[in-house]
Amino acid sequence: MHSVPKISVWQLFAVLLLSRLLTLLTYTTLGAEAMQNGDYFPSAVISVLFILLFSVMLFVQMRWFPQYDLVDIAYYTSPIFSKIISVLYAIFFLFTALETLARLELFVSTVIFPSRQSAFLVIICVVAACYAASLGVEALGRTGAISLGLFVAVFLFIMLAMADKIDFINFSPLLYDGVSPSLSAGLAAATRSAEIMMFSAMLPQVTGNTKKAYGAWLVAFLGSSLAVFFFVFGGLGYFALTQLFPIHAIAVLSELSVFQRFDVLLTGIWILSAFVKISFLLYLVSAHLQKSFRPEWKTRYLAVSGILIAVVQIFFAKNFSDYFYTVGLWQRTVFFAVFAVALPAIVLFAARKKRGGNQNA
Amino acid sequence: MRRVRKILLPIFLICILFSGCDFSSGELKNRLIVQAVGIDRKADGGVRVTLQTLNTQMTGNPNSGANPGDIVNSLSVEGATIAEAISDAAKIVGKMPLLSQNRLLVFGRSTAEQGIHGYLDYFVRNVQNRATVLVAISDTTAEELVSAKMGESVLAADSMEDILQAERFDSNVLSRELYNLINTLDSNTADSVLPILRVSGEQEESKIQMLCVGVFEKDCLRYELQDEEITALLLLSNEARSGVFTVQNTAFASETVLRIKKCHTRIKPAVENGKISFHIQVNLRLDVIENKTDTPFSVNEAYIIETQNQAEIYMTERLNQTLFKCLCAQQSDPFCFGMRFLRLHPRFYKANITDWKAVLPSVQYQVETKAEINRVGNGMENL
Repeated sequence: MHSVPKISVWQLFAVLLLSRLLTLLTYTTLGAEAMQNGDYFPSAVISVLFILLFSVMLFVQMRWFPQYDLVDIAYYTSPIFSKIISVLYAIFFLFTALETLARLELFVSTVIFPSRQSAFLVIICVVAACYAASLGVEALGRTGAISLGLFVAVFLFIMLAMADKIDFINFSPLLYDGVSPSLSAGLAAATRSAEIMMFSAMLPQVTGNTKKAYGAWLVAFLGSSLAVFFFVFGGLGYFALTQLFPIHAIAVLSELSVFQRFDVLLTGIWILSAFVKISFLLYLVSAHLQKSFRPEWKTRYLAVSGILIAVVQIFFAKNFSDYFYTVGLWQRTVFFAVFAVALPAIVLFAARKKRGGNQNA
Repeated sequence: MRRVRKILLPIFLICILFSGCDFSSGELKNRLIVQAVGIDRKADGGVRVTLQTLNTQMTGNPNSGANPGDIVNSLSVEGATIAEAISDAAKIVGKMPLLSQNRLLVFGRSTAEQGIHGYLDYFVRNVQNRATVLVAISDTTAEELVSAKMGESVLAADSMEDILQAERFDSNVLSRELYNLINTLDSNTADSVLPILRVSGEQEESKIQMLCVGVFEKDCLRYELQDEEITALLLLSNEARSGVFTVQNTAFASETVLRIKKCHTRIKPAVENGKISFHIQVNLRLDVIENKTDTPFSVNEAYIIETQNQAEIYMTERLNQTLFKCLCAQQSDPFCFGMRFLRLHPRFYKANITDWKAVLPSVQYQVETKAEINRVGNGMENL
């Protein structure tokens, strides 16, 4: 019996927080419902409530099968069902990696190198991510923890440097147009939280109190969202919403003595976070396929996944990667709910039934 | 094999990561480094764009012995849009314009009077342009201001930027960055303000000064605020940081010059009996920097109290005058009172107000100034 590589639950917390913060920072108003900046604050709280709602099956999994992931649990029902689940979640994680890469590519090709082809960056990023994923979960866990430390340090520095630019008149009133815009934005933010599924998939590979870590992740996400919105809208006001990447726009305001152009610093940590997230997602793709198919093909799974997302992003971005910018909120919610709630519910209840109602499988 | 890989990998990484300057777009001296951009509307609907650019031949090699000319050059181009005009500039000089170093965006007076909204998109959309670039109006044409020479080794855009940033120590100077302008330009509850600059003097040794502040209605320049009105505007927007003003004394010196050391304005919007009111409290901490008198006297408590009272009366009068001019006479809100009111009384605003500007003449305001003299300088005996 070969031992499963394990990381501390707080390393997983670091990777998942970094992953969610990247999604928050690469938020773009493109395709989003227009709303006043004051509505972003309640939307952050609402998004956490929706994430809790989408995490119901994760909590059930933690209670009934705390040491297993969905692929293992599905195996109780049938090996074929387990294979189907592993393929479905591998596709989901691959799609999430592709979406992350697409956002990074949009950011780089619009803000950093607007007049250059970004294909080279995509290839470099994917090659580096595949290599990092091949090193295993321990390496990714350590990189995630260090990267989160860097991320927080840089972000605090930027926030402090622009603290004197905050003007309260830049904030619009809360819920001026009713609760509907905040609800939609909160739901949209929740459907971008693939970390629920990442957490579920990593349950067999972590040591420590998972419930505490998940709670801390939610609180840290809420706190960071509120802080980011406060600084973005307090500093830039309405102007932030005229920008493709509003959160990147605050970096241009930050100046501290001779230190200027902090946008370069922010860009650096974005790319680092994207690298960690894509690596981790590719690792999950490979781990899922290894469980149900040939375990020794880890490198091949990673190589094929990497080539797939690079090719799609370079040649077919219009068809695939733009999905998240153009698809409606309800379609996206259904897609997300299938992987966060419906499939786990089927797997968990089927396994529970098969095990004859045992509390601990 | 592993050893070869260890040698080849760093070489490969160095090749891709430490490639240095990208020669396809040219070295720095081959770029058109823009320092200031001037926009003038043409009669036919097109636009005349004036670029103040660094003379990279001179800045790159100032000791070459050749005569490379002034440190800055200017270039005017025309087109249907700003993008077209700037791309024409590239064709004329054979260099690609680089906007990331741009310090100043200037609109001609006539352009500002006809509306500037249509000219801002290029600067918001262009990722090279920074949101913190300063925006100003030229008293005449933008071309005249942007192409002004202030001496062969003076960066004119740098000097203009310094003039506008004198806001830090002069309360008669105001500066606005691009993102500030856009926040108020697109607002129904505030009016934009921009500094108006004037160029004067000889062609090769021009002088540039801030003339006044222009107040906009939507995106069109409508009226101006002068000297002490600018101080009042800065105080009412809680932007004043320093400044000097003179008060008349009766019992002691004939005049006392005071410097604003610190100031803070609290603006409290309220609804009283269905009417909108603003309670404005200005707290000033002042230093005496000069007093003028024919009869010498010792600086004592009575003098300080009298000067404080005079400063409070003086500043309250100025604030009231400016408030009346803007809110009642011009039906304009350059102080962002509407934004403050909307934030604190959103329900009342939503239920009762459709046009904030129409409400302005009926808005009640009460100004209270508290002045405190901190220092009287080094002299105790007046000379």
